[in-house]
Amino acid sequence: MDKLEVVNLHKMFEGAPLLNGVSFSVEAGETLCLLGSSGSGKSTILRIIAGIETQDSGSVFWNGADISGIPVHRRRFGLMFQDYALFPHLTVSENVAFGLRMQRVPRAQVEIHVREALERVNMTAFSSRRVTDLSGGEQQRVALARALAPRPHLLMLDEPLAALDRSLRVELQEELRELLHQTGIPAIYVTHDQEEAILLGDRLALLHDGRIVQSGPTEEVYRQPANTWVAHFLGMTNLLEGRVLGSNPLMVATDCGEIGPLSPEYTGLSAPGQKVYLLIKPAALKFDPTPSSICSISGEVADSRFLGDHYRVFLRVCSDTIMEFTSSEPLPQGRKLSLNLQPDDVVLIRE
Amino acid sequence: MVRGLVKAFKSSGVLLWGAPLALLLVFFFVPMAAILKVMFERSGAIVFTDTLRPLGFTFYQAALSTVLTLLLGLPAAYVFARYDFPGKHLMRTLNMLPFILPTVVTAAAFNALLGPRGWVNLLLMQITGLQVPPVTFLNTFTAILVAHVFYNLAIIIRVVGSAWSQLDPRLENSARVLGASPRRAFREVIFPILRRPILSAALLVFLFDFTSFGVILMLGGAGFATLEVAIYSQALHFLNLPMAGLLSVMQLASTLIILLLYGRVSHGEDVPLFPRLHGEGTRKPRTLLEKWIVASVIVLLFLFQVLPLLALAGRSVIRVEAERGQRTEVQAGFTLDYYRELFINRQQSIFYVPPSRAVVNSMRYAGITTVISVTAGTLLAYALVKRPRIRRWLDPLVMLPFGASAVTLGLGFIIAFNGTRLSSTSLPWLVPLAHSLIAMPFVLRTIQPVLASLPESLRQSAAVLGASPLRAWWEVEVKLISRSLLAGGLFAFTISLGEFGATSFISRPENPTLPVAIFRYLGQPGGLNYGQAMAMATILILICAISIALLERLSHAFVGND
Repeated sequence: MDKLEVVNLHKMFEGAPLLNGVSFSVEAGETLCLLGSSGSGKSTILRIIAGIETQDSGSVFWNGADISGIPVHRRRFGLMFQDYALFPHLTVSENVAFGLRMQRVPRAQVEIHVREALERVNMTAFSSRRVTDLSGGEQQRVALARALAPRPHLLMLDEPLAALDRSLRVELQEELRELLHQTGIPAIYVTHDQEEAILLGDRLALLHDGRIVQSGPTEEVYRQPANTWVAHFLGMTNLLEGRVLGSNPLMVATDCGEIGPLSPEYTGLSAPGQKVYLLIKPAALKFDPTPSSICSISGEVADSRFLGDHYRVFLRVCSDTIMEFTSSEPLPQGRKLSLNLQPDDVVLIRE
Repeated sequence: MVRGLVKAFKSSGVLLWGAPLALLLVFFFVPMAAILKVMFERSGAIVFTDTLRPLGFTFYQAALSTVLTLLLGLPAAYVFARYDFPGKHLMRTLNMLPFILPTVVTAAAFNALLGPRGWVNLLLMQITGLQVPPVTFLNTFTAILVAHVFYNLAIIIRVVGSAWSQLDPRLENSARVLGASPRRAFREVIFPILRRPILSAALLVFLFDFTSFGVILMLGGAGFATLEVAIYSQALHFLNLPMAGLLSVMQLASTLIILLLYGRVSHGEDVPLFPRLHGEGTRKPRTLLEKWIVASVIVLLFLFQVLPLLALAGRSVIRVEAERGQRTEVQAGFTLDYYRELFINRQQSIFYVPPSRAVVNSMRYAGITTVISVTAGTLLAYALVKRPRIRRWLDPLVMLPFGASAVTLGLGFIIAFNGTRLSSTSLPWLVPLAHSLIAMPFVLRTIQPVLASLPESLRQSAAVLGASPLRAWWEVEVKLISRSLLAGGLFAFTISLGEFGATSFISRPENPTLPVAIFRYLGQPGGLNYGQAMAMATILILICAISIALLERLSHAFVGND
């Protein structure tokens, strides 16, 4: 079972620490999405794994063996560059054949593998074209075929869709997702787009301030962000600052009054007096109080926007905090209402 | 282990630029130092006031030549940038030809058209029955100016024309939509954008006119001494090396100032001699005025640039005057005698060198020059692109030979190496070495931008795909810069073939190059010598034409590459 492990990577960049102890692992059959804002060092991690750059300290293990001493061209990893880096002097099929030629694969075999790789990305018709004549999406496919053709042990993709327009991106996301699952090669997918990460990643690893601040199965990360940065980065903005009043039952005091009791899963995690954040889910818009309601917050509709299949409602709640909710019907601006939250609607984040 | 080796190789950038720099130190700075040494040690031989006339005249003729070149070049640049007309491509190639033509050939071409034995005079004498040539062109100031315009039109047309044609037509359109008349749009939008390319092209033309040597020596004659000609005659005729040294220092200082100015003006600007061509924004001339402008530019270019070359080629295959010593009337007509004569040793003298020897010499020197300058130029290009830290001091250093004139270099060579063991044992190498120094900046400037434009990711992705560093370099980088290597090589070959200024100093009498031989034959009496000079010059034109055509093809191929 192939497994890549990255342990405690450190790297300085222009005098400041870029990577400050990065650790994670990927196994065969799964795609890890490395998510972080631009400039956070995501690409640097890929380049260290590929061997193009050297870490200041820390190690990269492949199946348990430290590969730091192995030069780039002997690692047999695939890396798809953000700008694709197709060789402009070679045709589409020559580009795809490049890695196979480097492995001294017999010529007849090379042809077969190239054809297979091009079929996989639906680019067979382009095989003798110059890569410089291709559109962005076509180049992206060729780059993918080139990375896959030599059957790398590990596939790394560095924001492969960033340069494409939206509709093409959505189309290619689907294709990529299918392809990654077909091949079963462990893959690391770097992106700053959380939607892409949800779709493609079996697991997420979030990079912030030179560290992996959270990693785990995609759904788990979404259900329970580890801190407010992760919540913000994943687009969850309904945060309320608060202080724990009592831990059994778990009650939190906020600007909007006391909220609780919260779901018992948080009970052991917080002590009275502790500062916490409450994350309120956008789907939590319920007007009628029920016996299980844990609070009733009064608010006023600030705006309501049509988004195609649903509405986004902006609610002004206690002392001018704006929260976003989804709603199946429009709400008139200025309408007063009260927000009745259920235990499931609130996530507790410790700071 | 392997990583250690790779690291050692990477950090030892000195491998890259060390050898070319050593070449430069020995064969450029040592000669320059030798000039200074002679100048200071024997300063008694210097009459400072004698330098003022050539200095003043050099500036004067260069300024006037530049203005005239602009006057004809700007309309031509406009026509090439904005209009399509039949034969445009051929015209463009022909226009480029004079730029790389050896000065001797240029002199021979104007000689064949307007000289005392040229077509125009022969024709007028035939018509009027005069016994003396009615048109005096050689040894006049006009001849110098005309030849300089002939030479440098290409620079204006290329630099300004390419900037003009790459100018987004929408700029002009939006000015018009905003209410500007065509004239106003030109004055307020087009001209301000073109001002920099025009200025930098003009400075380049000024530099070439300033350092012009062969043209002035052969077409201007003794009456018009520029710094270059003064250095030449002080050194070779009056044997006053200190005086020649002082003139060289003045020449070097002036060209450096011009180069600095040029660097300032063209800073951050791409001034390619072989720019990409594209058809956007060009159209057929429509109004009568447009047609008239296009037609007159074509006619003028033809008169200035093509006619002299045709006259030269014609003169090499048509006999029109008596051989030396013959007093009888000659049968005028087509002949290949002048070419045949190149390979026959007529005079049974040991000082006589058959022209075929000059052809062989030139080819050999050009071959050696190509190898040396492409190797050194490529290494330097690598050093400049991959080691930005050393670029600051290395770049101006390697461009210095570009500023030093050929005659100065030649003078430095004979002062530094004459009478040394080096000269007696390896003089044949001095000529290609001097040529390499002159050609290297051109080679460097051809390869460097292409190398700099290669993204790092190409080599990295080759490595990720399993290519060893050496293999990645060979399969990706070398393949991608091969065209510019070829172009640089062609440049070097052509430059060496036509080089006259430095060669006239350092080539031995028994081992002339083609330009030196042409110069000698032009100076000798008799129709046969004249015809042979024409034949050799025509051979040079053909080689230059082939090389220009190849360069054009290469530059076209570049366009398809990105």
